[in-house]
Amino acid sequence: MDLSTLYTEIILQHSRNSQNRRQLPCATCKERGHNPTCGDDITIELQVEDGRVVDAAFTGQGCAISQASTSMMIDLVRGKTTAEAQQLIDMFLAMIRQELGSDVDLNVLGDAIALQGVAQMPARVKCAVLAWHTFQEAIKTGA
Amino acid sequence: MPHLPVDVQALGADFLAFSGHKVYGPMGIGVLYGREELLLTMPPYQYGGDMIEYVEEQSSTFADLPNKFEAGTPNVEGAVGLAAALDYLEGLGPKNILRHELELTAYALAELSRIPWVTIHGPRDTVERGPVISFAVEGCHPHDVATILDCHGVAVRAGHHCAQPLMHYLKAPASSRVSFALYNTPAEVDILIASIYDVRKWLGYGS
Ligand SMILES: [Zn+2]
Repeated sequence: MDLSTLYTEIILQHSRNSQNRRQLPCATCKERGHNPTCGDDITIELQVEDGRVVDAAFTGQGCAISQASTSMMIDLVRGKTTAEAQQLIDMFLAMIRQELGSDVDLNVLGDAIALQGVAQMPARVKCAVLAWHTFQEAIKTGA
Repeated sequence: MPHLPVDVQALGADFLAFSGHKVYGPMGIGVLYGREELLLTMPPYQYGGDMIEYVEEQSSTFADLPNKFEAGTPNVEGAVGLAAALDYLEGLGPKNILRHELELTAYALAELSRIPWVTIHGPRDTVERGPVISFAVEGCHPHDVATILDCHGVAVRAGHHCAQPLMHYLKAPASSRVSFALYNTPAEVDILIASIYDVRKWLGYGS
């Protein structure tokens, strides 16, 4: 495994200095997600109005992959309708499971495309998908 | 097992269990020791071939120990492999194995404690500690530490180590843990130390 495909500048930036790491005063739903076996623990807050994610943010702690993945996902879903967000999440999860055809344009995933390499590392898949599953739970229970 | 000599008589143990894979034996087999007088009073936990004595229409009696607890087709290859592993350890001598492992532990503790951004959890005394070292690398989550070390050929465990209350006490989200076995060498400790410097580099700290 080539570490340079995983610990890229963009992942380190998102995991350390994310603008998305904060609390959301007007949150309409909130969901905590954690990987009990390894200790990644995040809380995602969303402000959903008329079926649109007006704002999103997160708090918590964990490895660089889980924290970067959370921040990237938030950039991606902000401003989208929950249906659009759901589609992007399905696409991200399929990318990690290596179920996407070569004709699919991954650029719609924004910075999260940098997590593609995680598919080659079974031990880190849980870290990468945590935020995306947590978001799905949040809109199921909150919106 | 296999890091400390174990004497069930001296311990006064009622029961004692260990796994085959921890003593360099096969997976899927282990040892359960039970004191004879306790085993005699216990009913079989499983019924099947080779564990009965007489079977009548309304009653049956069970075989003697240990057959009473060994119903069905036994895991013969597992038992043979485990016996070979235990013979091998016995031949090396448990005291020699422990001395080798503790020498490696002492060396690793000395090297790790020279790195200012590494925190060692637990006592510095190798006898109290045994041949394992849990540690934290400042600014680097144990998952990332383990992945990067893995790419350098060093396998450590990262996570809670089934000890969440202790992790809360240490105020650590998780920890990385290196453990030494009879086949490790001082040169491998050097690789571990050099690789820990590389962890910091990959995660964006100069060194
Ligand atoms: Zn993780």
